[in-house]
Amino acid sequence: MMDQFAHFFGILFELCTRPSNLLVLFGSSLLGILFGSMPGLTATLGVALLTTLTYNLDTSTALISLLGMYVGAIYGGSYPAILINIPGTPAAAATAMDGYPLALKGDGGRALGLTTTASLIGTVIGLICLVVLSPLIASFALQFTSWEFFLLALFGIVISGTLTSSDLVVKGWIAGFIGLFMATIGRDTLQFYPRYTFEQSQLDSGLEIVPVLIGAFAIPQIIRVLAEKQTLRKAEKFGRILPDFRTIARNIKHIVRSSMIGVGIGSVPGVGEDIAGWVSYSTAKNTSTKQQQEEFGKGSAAGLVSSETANNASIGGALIPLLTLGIPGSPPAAMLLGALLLHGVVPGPTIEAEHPGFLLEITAIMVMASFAMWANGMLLAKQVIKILSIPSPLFIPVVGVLCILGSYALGLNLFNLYLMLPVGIVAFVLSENKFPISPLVIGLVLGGMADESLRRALMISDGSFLPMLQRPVCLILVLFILYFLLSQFGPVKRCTQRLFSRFKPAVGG
Amino acid sequence: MNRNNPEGATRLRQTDFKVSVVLLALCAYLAWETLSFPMSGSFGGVDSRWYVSPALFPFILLLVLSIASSILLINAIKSAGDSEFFKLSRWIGDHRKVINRDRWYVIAALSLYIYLYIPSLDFYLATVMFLLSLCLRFYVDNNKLKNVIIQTNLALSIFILAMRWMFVPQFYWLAMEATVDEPLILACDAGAIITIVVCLLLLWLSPVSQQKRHHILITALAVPLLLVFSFNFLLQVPMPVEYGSVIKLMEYIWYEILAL
Repeated sequence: MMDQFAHFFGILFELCTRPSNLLVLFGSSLLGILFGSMPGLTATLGVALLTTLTYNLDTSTALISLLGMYVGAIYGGSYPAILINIPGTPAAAATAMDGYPLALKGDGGRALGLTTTASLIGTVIGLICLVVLSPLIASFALQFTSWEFFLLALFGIVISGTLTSSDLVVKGWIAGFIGLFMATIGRDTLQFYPRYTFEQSQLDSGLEIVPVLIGAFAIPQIIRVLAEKQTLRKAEKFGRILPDFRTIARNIKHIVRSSMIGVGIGSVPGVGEDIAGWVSYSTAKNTSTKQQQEEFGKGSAAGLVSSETANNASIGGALIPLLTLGIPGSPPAAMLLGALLLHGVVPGPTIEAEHPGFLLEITAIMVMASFAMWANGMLLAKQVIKILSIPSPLFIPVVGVLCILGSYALGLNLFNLYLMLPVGIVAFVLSENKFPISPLVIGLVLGGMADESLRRALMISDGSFLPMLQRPVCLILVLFILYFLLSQFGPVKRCTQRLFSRFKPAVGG
Repeated sequence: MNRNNPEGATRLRQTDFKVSVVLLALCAYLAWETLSFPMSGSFGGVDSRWYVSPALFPFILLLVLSIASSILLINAIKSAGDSEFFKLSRWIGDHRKVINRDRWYVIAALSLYIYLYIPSLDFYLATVMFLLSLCLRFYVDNNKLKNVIIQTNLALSIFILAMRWMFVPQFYWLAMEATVDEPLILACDAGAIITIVVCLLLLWLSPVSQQKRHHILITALAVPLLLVFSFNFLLQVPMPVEYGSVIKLMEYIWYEILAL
């Protein structure tokens, strides 16, 4: 244990003492806050664009910039949420509930100080969970066979499809399976047979993940923001930003609980920070006294810190399945997976064997990123707010050019652009019809693993599906998948509701 | 949602119906395509059985997608989602609504930029044209300029295609690689420069505030210059069309005059 600590501080010291690293860290964190604070730009898009620019950097520096961007963007979404009542990122939607009323009362500076400190605490708690849980999950996952990996991929699709659908759950599943299907394009890994390539050699190696992700997240955003002519109101005035430690101490139980919720939800494949923020907000409301509950929605500090702590804690949570199983916990984590693959790092249970000290390095970078976010937030918030005055018809087209340059720069290939746009248009049409995009992206990322694992497993079992039901983890995953699938159908849904309603009074009493 | 906005819910079921029909048709086509994959026998020296066939996973996915799409379809039919299926406006949006026209405009601008301008023009000129197309429509509220930018884009597109027809032995609509034919690039760049100058002149003559004019000039002319410079010289990412007029001029200044 002490060795691990010494090693961790050794890595942290080495990373911190390189001036170029600090420059990249503070720059990308500030860029992340800017990205997060601009309504229409998201953390995923920020990580996607930066991925293309980090191609030539060494892995450590690339990760510093990407994680700096990720942490900064999730936090940055709280600025417009508090000051103009428009969440910069979906993750900050719950923050607006109490942040904006505080800003209207003239407490905008205090609200920003609270969210900055709560975000720092959330990120650090998420990080602690990442450090503690990752080696355990990774060593457990080392015993997994192809069956477990196949079912994990399927579980990821089913759960993210179920939880991210704002309309019918079946739409989430459809999006997930479309993503899985898109992953089958190209030569298959076992027999090298070209599938759905239509004699286009560019499709032989499959769909490039980064241009597809940029298309899926950026193009719908560009079309939507420009066509809907989103205009921003003037930001509320705010005073000095101070870390209100007394309020933080008073709400420590909400902060700890929200961190745990954030880590838990963040680690569920594809679900991400926005849901963590809402769940944590409503839990904080439900667990408060009647008097405190009345404050929610009118400027409650508890509500504000709960949503902000949870959305930042879910970053650590999202990295747990990403690093230990190769399954991204959130859309930005899916993008991060693409970046890791670009740098030759294949996340999964064997990551520590293949890249010794990698988990500690990620932890050290996350610590640096959280403090950079805090320092940038405390010192530069007033300057960042000025960017909100740039009209979206001016900055969104530039973002479009950056997406196109970024996609092209990855392989210096025009085909990447030709691919990005149709994927973006399809993603736009789907999202306009309330199909969630996260399961599609998770499906694309996990498709290769699912395909290969299933066929390898069947090869070993000589075509029999029986071994799947003979392994305990597989059995649990199968039951979970079946539950999620069947719970959407009438009789099972009613049974589940009746079962939960029996437990509710008991819990309440 | 259903209770608060019944019209919105019906509209959603109508789109569900369309999406599920398209998905089912796509599944059928892809299943037919999948039948051509080796299911058994030997492929590439590897003895194939059904469970290692490259068709196995796609077939499972297509089956699941078909079932899920059928559920969506049945649900849509139950909520009268099959009405107005053959109405064109339900597929492409009501053209009388500004938001639908604007959506199509953004898609068209992106398509022109990606499929026509980038492979044929100097990247800087292509980007200026793209940024002008979006800024003049969405930042400046002037109907005349909105029409002008559509007409100039149309004219430039026809010009580029005409140049391809004149300079290339075999005409093509879509270039899979960026153009390397220098006279063709030069001709297309000349057309783009004229188009950009016309757009800027009309912007100057239109009743647009000085501040907005400056904003557009910075966004459409200065920002792409900065981006091209950063990518080409700092990040060492060559531009798609390497023999473009502006990029060649920049390289001449950077390497020959400044000797960097």
